[in-house]
Amino acid sequence: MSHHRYAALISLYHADLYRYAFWLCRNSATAEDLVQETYLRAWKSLDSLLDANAAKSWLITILRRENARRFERKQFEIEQLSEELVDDEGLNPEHLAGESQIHKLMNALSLEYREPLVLQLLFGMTGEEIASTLELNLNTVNTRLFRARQQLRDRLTAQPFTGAHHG
Amino acid sequence: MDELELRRRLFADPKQVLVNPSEQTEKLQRELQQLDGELYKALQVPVPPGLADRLLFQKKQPNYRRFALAASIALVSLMSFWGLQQQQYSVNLGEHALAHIRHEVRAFQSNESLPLPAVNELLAEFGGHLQEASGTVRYARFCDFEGTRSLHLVFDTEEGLFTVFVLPKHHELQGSGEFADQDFAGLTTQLAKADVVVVASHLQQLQPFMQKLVKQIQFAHS
Repeated sequence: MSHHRYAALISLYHADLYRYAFWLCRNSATAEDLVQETYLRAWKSLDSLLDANAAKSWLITILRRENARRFERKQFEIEQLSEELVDDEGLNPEHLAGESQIHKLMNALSLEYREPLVLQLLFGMTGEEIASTLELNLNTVNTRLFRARQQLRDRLTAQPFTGAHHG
Repeated sequence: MDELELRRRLFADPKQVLVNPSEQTEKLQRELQQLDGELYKALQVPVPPGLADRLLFQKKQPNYRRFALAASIALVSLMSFWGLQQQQYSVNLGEHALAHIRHEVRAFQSNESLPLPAVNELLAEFGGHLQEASGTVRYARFCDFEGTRSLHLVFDTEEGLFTVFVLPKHHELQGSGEFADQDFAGLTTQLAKADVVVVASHLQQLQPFMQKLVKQIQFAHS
């Protein structure tokens, strides 16, 4: 029954989808909106999900599309509003204070490096799965994962008194 | 594969299995795996409490919004019908609680954090007093419960959202114990001074919540 499928999709994936959304947009309120939009669309097209094993990547794809939509809307707003008013892509202040250094470094990573890394770590996706989700080729994904970790490691070892990753 | 390529591969996926790695490569792999462990921990940002419940419930909303007027008219007529029939057919407490929850959707959307004294001010009308609350009280309003003024509360806890209705003893509704539909399950308890109904989307959490609530809520003896 579709209700039970929907409830199962929520209990299985909502937490990691929220975290993925958070690391996409780096803002907790926007992340929650994205997850709500994602599940609403999922509910409406639940019949199109034939393979239960594909549910996770199906939800991730919906969420990415919702995020792109949000981004388009925001681009439109930027054209409408004066610049100083639009900065919600910036770091969320509530998450700046008291966060670990590694959290901040992760936040500072550009989206093209951050996103494949989050997909790999959070969902345990393989390079091939990430490539198909992000519509990139495998070499590009591997290069981005390589550069993501390289940057994080370099920045952590550059600050030996606050990081735990040296020596 | 040369050492440089091996390093690149390790940076892209520190979990991969290496065949006869050099000591240096092995050390790098350990270091990168440790980094991944730290990264994984950093990714685990806290999920907003009650999110699962809001997601579960929201699938009803688009229809609700679209047909809000029709729905409320239907509900009002249904309730008046119930009201008229009350003498002959007793209205079931659980059914009414479920219908009421669906009618008052905004209760689930409140992000308010109500202080205990504010809640107690409302509870005082029934001679009740809440010593402490499980989680955060998001919603507290008087509502008409089949002609009986009752208190509608929403608690936001680590286990999810719980809706609580406190009814004075003189209500006309029948039924007690457990009830459920496809989305929600509920439980009623009759205390000496009031009846308490708890509804949530997760059956297994109801009993512990009710037990806690019954201990936390006290009624004046007068």
